[in-house]
Amino acid sequence: MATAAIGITGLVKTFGKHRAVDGLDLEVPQGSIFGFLGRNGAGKTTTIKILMNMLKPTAGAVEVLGQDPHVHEKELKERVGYISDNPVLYDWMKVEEVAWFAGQLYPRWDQQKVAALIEHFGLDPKQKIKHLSRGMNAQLNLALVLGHDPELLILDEPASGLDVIVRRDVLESIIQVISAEGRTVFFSSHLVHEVERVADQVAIIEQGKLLVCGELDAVRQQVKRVLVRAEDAVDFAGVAGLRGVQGEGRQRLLTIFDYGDEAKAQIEQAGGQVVEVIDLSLEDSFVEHVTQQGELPS
Amino acid sequence: MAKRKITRGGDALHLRLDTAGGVPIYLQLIEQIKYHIATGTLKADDELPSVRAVASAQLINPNTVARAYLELEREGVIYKRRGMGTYVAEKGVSMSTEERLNIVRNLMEKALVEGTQLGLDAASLRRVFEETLEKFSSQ
Repeated sequence: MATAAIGITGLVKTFGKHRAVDGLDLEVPQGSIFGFLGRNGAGKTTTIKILMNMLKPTAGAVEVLGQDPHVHEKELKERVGYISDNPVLYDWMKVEEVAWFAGQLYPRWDQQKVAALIEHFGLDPKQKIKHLSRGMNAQLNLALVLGHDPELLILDEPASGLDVIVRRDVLESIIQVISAEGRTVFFSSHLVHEVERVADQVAIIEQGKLLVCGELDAVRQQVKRVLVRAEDAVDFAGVAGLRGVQGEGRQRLLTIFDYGDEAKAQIEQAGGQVVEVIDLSLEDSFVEHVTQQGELPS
Repeated sequence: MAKRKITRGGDALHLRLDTAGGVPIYLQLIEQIKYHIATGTLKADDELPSVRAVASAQLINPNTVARAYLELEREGVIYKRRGMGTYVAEKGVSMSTEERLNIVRNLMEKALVEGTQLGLDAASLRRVFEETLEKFSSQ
């Protein structure tokens, strides 16, 4: 088997008494677009900062492109493209100066490609960084990160707070990277519907722990809504995997994890008739996975 | 500020992908390409946009597009020419009667589920179908 692009084993990071990452195991296959999902404060940014050697783990180990980021920081900087959740550039420089400056840091740098992207995004090369809007800043960061042709692209909340045009640019850039053989994109987000279009693998974390991980369609289909017809008095409490019941009386909508023949038989045994089994969007599935922790008010 | 160029080669397919409904994107791709073939928008030996063009235009994972194309190729709906592109197959156009009926069957099933949930009985549903068919045929 090919080496995983990212491997995380038993990762723990504590800040005082707070366990930001709490025993996380994760493997990001090479060649995937991997959506790293979680609510705000779930531990996504902390995990990514450890991958980038910006934080030291309290316990556990991480490997990026088969290497320990703490030992091989310099080498990995050249092979990994990273945009933080709050990218800061030298704001007294002009766009073209930053592009030149960044080029000095990487041996594998394609100045033509960066210039083409800057033009494609409609950025003015003579403009000062401090005068760029938030969206333009994000576009410039994308151009810079694509300039050194990274084997692995790590994006921390890349689309958060950006308008629809720039979000499109972000997704386009992700697709551009992945179109080259063997490249991997790992990006965190709480904007689940955007992840759904582009990712093929997803992981959901909550309170620093992994809830579920795998192919996007498998994760999505783990939860089903089942429309059931039944007499008023029928109670479905004993059905395996049941997480919730909406509606009362003759028509009820059951939310069920790992729905299959067993759950169907139990529904029928309880006196219900399955009318329809409904697939969920990733967003709905995400909500069910996360609220299952008893974290959100229902 | 410079005006940005917008290039969207993959839009030629007129795809409408939706992530709210819970249908996997590769299945939506397969259904919609088949639909375009069935309605004559795509004809035999028409070239389909490349995997990458569709992925960039629709902002979806190239692997998803490749998976849909592979599935369509396996079903004989499209074919690849080495080093060239992907094309609509003759067979894709002349879908069997059974296959065409199946497409309609699935759509009708959805309408019937909706109707049943709205509390309509079989007689009313049949009447609506007959009326709609009549109106449609007379056009």
